[in-house]
Amino acid sequence: MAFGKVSTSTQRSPWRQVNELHLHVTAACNLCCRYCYADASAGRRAQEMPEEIARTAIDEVLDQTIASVIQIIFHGGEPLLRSDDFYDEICTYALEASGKRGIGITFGMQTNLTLLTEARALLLAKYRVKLGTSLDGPQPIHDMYRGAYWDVVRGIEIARCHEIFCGPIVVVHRYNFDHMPEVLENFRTLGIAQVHCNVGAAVGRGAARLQPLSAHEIFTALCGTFEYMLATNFAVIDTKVLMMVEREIFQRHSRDQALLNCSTPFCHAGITLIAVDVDGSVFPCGCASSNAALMPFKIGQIGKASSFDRDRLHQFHMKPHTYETECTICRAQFVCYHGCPAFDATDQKTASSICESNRMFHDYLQARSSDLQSYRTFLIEKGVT
Amino acid sequence: MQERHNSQYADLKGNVCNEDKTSSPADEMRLPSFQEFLELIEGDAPLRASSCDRNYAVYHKYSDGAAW
Repeated sequence: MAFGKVSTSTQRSPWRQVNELHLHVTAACNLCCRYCYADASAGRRAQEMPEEIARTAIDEVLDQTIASVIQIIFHGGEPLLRSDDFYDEICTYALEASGKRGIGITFGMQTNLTLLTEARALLLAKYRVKLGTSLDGPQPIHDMYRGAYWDVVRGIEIARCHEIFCGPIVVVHRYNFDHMPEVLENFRTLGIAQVHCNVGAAVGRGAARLQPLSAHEIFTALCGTFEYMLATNFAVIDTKVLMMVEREIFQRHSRDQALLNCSTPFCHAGITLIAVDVDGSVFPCGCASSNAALMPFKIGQIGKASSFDRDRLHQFHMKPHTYETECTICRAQFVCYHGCPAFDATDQKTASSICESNRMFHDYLQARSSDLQSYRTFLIEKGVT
Repeated sequence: MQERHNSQYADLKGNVCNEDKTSSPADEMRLPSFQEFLELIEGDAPLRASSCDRNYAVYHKYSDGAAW
């Protein structure tokens, strides 16, 4: 590591910049996806977040944050395994607690949607809980790693009817990397116009069951997505590839260094986002909380303000020395997201492949400069300049 | 509650969409150093609303927040 010095001079409220709180309300899941980074399964049904921990976490963030609006995201496991009463109580509590402090609040949930019913959708709609899900492609592809494709599609329809559906994530893996046009066309038939594709990482259960993609395979997925959007006049957008192309066209990383997220060189994990596990352990994000290999990145404990470990958070964000010696002069620096601190710590092979595939994709875009004009026109129409 | 929610949702959207208020072209062209990152997160200025890739706010950049 090139960055041996970390700042410990100022001890302030640890959650003062937090505007996104992930509550891992259960470690259990009704599915058993082969690549689950959280390693969730029915066998972990007993591990549920007590309501008191959820309430305390909400209070701590609301008391300390300087943000005007925060998001609470229900994560798991499968959050829909928790009862209606649980969400009724927690959402009501959060709304009242935020209202007293003059802070805005919104809710989200990352769910496989297979347990969504009309009745549950009504409850979630009451609190405007926006639902995100995962769908890896048409049924034969989706079910290779996840299963229950048609239950997910049914859940999407229910959520859409109640205007609480947001959009799916696609995990790019061995069974779909060379079928990206087919994957995206499937979304078109489902009436879904935007997705977000992430390369699968071999962490959690996936450490043993997900074979990492090579650089060329990831490159194949990027090209397939690029070509599909171009050929269909952006009938379905992959926001990941679109952002990569946008950065390449406009030659920039982020237009605001103060906007941290998963796609900036230094991400928001542990700073504007924290993830609280079922037992109240605080991690920089969900990716860093859900498997034993990442336990060293625990940065605090709900209910124990003195437990915040600032040095550990800084260590989490440190990059290898190549960041300064190689990344800053890399020709692919604009299409690059510069890694995920959580996943890269346990799946260095995928991190390395993504790095190489970014260089390949940059060269590919350079050779497709005339087609980039179509992208530029589309982005400008969307207000991106 | 619906009206309040819409207002807050719009705030989030605005925070995501209007990324171009504070940076100069030169800032956009180079990678931040770790030390700059530390100074940013340890500073007094509130950071902007974030958007985890796994959640809906990321979609706001290119649309009105819906996936269809």
